[in-house]
Amino acid sequence: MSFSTILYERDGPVAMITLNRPDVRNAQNEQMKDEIDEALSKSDIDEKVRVIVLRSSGPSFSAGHDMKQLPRDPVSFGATEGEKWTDGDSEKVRQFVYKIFRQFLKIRDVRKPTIAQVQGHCIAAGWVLASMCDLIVASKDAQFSDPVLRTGSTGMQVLVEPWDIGFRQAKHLLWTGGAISASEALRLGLVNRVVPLEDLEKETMQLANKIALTPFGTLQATKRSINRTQDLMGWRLAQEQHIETWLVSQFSNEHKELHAGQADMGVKEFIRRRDQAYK
Amino acid sequence: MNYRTILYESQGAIAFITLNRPEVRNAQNEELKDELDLALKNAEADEGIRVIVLRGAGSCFSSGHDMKQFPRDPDSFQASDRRKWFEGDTAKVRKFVYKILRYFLNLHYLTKPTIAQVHGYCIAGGWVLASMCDIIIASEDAEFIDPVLRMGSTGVEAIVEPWDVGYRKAKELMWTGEGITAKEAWEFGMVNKVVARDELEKETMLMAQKIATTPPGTLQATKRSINRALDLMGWRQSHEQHVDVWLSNHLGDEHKTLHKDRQDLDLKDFIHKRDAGYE
Repeated sequence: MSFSTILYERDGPVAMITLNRPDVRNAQNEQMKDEIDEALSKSDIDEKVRVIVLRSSGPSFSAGHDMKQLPRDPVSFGATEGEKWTDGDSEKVRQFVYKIFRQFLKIRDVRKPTIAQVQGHCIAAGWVLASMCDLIVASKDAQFSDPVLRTGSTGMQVLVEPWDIGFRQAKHLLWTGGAISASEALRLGLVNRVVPLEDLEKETMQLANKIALTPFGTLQATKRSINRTQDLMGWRLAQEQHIETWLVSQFSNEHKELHAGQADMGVKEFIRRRDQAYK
Repeated sequence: MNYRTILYESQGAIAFITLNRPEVRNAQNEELKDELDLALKNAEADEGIRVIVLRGAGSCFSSGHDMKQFPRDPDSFQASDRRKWFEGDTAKVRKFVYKILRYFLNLHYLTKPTIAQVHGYCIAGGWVLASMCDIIIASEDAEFIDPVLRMGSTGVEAIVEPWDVGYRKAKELMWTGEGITAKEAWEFGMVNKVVARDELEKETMLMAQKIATTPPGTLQATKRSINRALDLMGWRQSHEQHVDVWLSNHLGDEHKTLHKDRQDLDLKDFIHKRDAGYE
């Protein structure tokens, strides 16, 4: 399979999956999500691969979902011209959203250790992508944000924030739409290491190669055990319930009114109206 | 009661249990575990005791399980010639390993408050012992490590790391075999206080005395309540599932092959072959 939105390479025991749409700061469209999914399956099967690194080209890790191309065609969801895709056939919307949800969870469930190598902006679904990885190495310029609440979305399809930075910080961050820097992320335990940007690739590969020296079955066993520990804390059910909350919110009148006519009005006018509404 | 591998003393309302095999850095052999278990029962039964301090004699708290004397009688597991005990009768192996888990859990579920006084190395089974205590006071030279994955072991029988340092850091530490200093441990919230080496005993004593001034029924009620909160997050079940992951990994081929190499080769060659094996 040849990929057009990502790169897939292997260097010794380490597979590198690189998000490769730097022109749009690696915004994830449907095709990219499918290709990441495919590349993960490939690396999980390849016996030569012991550690998987997820990284990206250009100045930012990922700007999140590609809002222009996700989904490709609102009308195919049964929405009328000018409406958002979530205004379409709710069953189709559900199936589409569940697919995104499963794709995220699959990254976490890959048998092999995964490392996200994060630079620059790591926004919303970009954060989710990084968070699904076992370890995160970030450059000093990395920053994590999920600023989608002001647009009527209850965060991403997977709610990683309370797990990554704690309940109180998560509420604060989500409700204000702010960002946390790499050094704050380190303090809160969201990332494992922070390094200068020019050393990011080298440090990540060193870490990956060090991990690759550990007996493979043992590595996978501890991954299972630690992920199950997180599941016993409620991780998986928290996500399964959150996706329903997310859908309920997308189907609400509030969301519909907020986005009514959005396609025709331009971003500036949308923001003006949005800020007006709750004053 | 006479102990050979520990010391049991009391001062006022405080019981001191000291791991006392400094010549092997308080490596825990089966006898030490049994004696510690008994000493804890005595402290629990003694109405005069309200707080229990656990500490180590010599240069460090504990270097973990005693790999030479653990278990006491490998032959009783009916492993064939030159094989390790866990390659013997699997029912006996299971029973023995479950007993170790119970012994760790017993410490956690004591009704009286416990304080671990940690200096120097606190490795693998040593870390678990400290972690099972309610409060940890560490000296600046304390270091927490669980470097056993490179030997094909999935950590210790109990998995304390994700609870002590968070799951992302836990994966990094376990997969790389690297340790954390007392200061880092304090930043992660796994130790309560870091003090100078020569202040450690005094500071621990002060903390124990301060806790002992609280009504004992109230102390124990809050201990129950906080431990139950942990259990509701999945604490106990995470250890129960982990010990089975641990067992299935130890009973697997990878571990057997690795261990056979360790017996057949001298240490240098073993390490060389091990590192080559996964390159």
